[in-house]
Amino acid sequence: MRMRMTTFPRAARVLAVFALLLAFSAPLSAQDLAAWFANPANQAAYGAIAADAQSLAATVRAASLSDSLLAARLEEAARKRVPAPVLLATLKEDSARYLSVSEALRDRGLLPADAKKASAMVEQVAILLRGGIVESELSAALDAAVAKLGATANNAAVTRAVAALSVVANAKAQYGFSEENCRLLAIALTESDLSNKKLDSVLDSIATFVAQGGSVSDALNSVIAKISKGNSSKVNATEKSNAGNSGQKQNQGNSGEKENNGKSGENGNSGGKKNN
Amino acid sequence: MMKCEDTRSFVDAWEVGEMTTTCTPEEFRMHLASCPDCSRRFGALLPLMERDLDLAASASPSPLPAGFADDVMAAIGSRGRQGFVFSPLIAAAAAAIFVVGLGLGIFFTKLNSDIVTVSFLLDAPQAKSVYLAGDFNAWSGDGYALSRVRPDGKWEIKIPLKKGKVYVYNFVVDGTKWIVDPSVPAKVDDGFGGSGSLLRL
Repeated sequence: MRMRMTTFPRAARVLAVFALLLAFSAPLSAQDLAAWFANPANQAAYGAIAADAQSLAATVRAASLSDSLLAARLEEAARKRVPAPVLLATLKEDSARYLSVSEALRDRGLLPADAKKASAMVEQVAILLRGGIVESELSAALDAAVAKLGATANNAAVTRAVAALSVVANAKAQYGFSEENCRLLAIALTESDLSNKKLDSVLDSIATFVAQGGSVSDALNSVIAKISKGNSSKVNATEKSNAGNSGQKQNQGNSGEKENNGKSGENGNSGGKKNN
Repeated sequence: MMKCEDTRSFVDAWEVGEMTTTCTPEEFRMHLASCPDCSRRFGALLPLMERDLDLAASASPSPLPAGFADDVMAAIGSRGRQGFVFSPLIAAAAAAIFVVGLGLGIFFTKLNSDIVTVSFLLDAPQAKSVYLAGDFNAWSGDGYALSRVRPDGKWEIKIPLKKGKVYVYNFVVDGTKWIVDPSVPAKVDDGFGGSGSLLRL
């Protein structure tokens, strides 16, 4: 008797293989930290802090985040040959930062249920906090973004806040704006009608204003008034106008900073030039 | 006149569906009527044969009118050859449409793509090698070596990155020195005593 073989269409077979891969990869992604320490070279250099790192990872996972967040920091530290005690101290700060950010997002209904998506979102915001953005500025931007775009399932509000805060981080680094003025700038940027990719044009405007002899605080006032709806935001004119100090003068003279020289491209905050 | 030996071949032919033998069914019937021996052997088959003959008669096509075949052939000849002719003109048009469609598809895919090519530049006249390391490549400079694009020490690399995200990166000079991008004002504390450069796309 001949057995009749059941034949599946090619698409069904591809789907089956994909499902199997997914099933096997999911547990692996949840064990990123363990896998990292399982590497002999990493174990030799950082085995002493593995238990502590695992403990921190457990707290991160308890917040519905992936421990890949910490694994990424471990990898960065290893590449930079950071001593284990320094790494552990930084991991503790990072863990606290991740939890704080996730809480801020969750409170506003912005944290995705999916751990991978949530972790990616938290990582983006955490980078900005490490880049000089403080909690009040973050809260202001998130609140403004939710008011503008709503706390929907997609991450439009968070993307908006991150875009605005990245501009604020650059402005703060260049011009030394106060926390309050950065907060106002963050709100104005988030609420403005500028698209995310056009937000960096504000840095151009400030640079142009200053290059024409205006003070930094006037430049900020002018920009906020320009982008704010109803021109309601007022800026405390308490900024340092000493253009010869800190990074601001240097950056004005530095061709790498100015967006209008074409070097830093659209984003304006990088030596990276976008070639669309 | 049908003979007894002919009845056997007649029945055999009927069994395989062939009713055209040297004998006719009428001759077969007459033989059975005059031959008790053949009647005993094949008499029971006679009603079945007659039924088949009736069916065959009803199924046989009615005769065609005279000249029908000539008319059909004349009509075919007058219409000429019909069907799809793949002329060179149609082939060229199809190829042109395909090429234009492909080009437009690529154009709009690129236009709406989330990926953008970013050029990283560094002035490092004394450097022997420069790598780019960041969170986009797991801080591994492997495969991210900058090329010296000018004799005065300008290094460059172009890489594709996803839009709508912030990135942190360093240049790694001569394999050991992790430096920030001097053209970028915003720095990110790496927590290890150094900084990275902030990039948003």
